[in-house]
Amino acid sequence: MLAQIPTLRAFAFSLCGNFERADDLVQETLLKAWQHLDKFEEGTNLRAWLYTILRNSYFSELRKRRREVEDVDGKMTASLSVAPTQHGHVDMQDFQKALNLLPADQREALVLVGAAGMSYEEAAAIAQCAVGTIKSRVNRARTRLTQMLGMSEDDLPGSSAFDAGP
Amino acid sequence: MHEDDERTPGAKNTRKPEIKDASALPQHLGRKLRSLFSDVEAQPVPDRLRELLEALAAKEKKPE
Repeated sequence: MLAQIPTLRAFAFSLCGNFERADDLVQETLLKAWQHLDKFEEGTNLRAWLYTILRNSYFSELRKRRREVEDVDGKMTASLSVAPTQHGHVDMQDFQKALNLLPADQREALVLVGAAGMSYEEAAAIAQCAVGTIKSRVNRARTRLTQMLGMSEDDLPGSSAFDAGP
Repeated sequence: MHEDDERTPGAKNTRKPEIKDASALPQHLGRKLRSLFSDVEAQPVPDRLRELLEALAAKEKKPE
C-alpha cells in the first residue's frame, strides 16, 4: 500500500488543490482501506480501489462543507477570475486556479482520464456513474477550462486533447 | 481560425516558453494537467503517511 501513496497524493491534490487537505484525504483513505482490507478482492486493481475510497471521502467532505458555506461557492466562482492567457502561455498557478474552479465532478473526471491515465470505463467505475457521464464531464471540463483561460470554444481542436489513454 | 497546424509533428515535445498558435492551447493544458499530477506523484512520501502505515502494520499483521 506504501507504493500507492504517491499516486493517491497526486489524485488528492489534483482534486482539492491543497497539500494539507490532500494528505488528510490520503490518511483517511489509508485508514479506511486498512479497516476494510477484507473487502478488497485480491487480483483486482488496488489503485482503483483506493482511488474510490479517496474520492468518496473527498465528495462527502465537500457535501458537508457545502451545507456550511451554502451559496458562497457560487459567489466565489464568480468573483475569482483567472488571468487571460498571453500568447497561449498558461502558467501553472493560473492553470491550477482554473482547475480548482471547475465543478468537482468535472474536475474528477478530467483528472482520472487526463492525468491518472484511467480509461473512461475505469473512471466511471471509480466515480460510480455511467461511462457516458464521464465522457460528457471530461468534455465540459476541457471546454470550461479553455474558456476560463481565455480561449473560445472555437479554438478547441479534436476531442482527444485531454485523453491520455487509447 | 485554421486548425490545420494543431498537430504539427514534434510540437508536443518542444518545450517552448510560450505557444503562439492559439489552437495549440488545449493540448498545452493537457500537458499542464499531466505535469501537475506527475510532479506531486514524484514527491517523496510524507513522514506522517509513512509512519501511519508502519503503525497500522505493526498493530495487526496484514498483507501489504
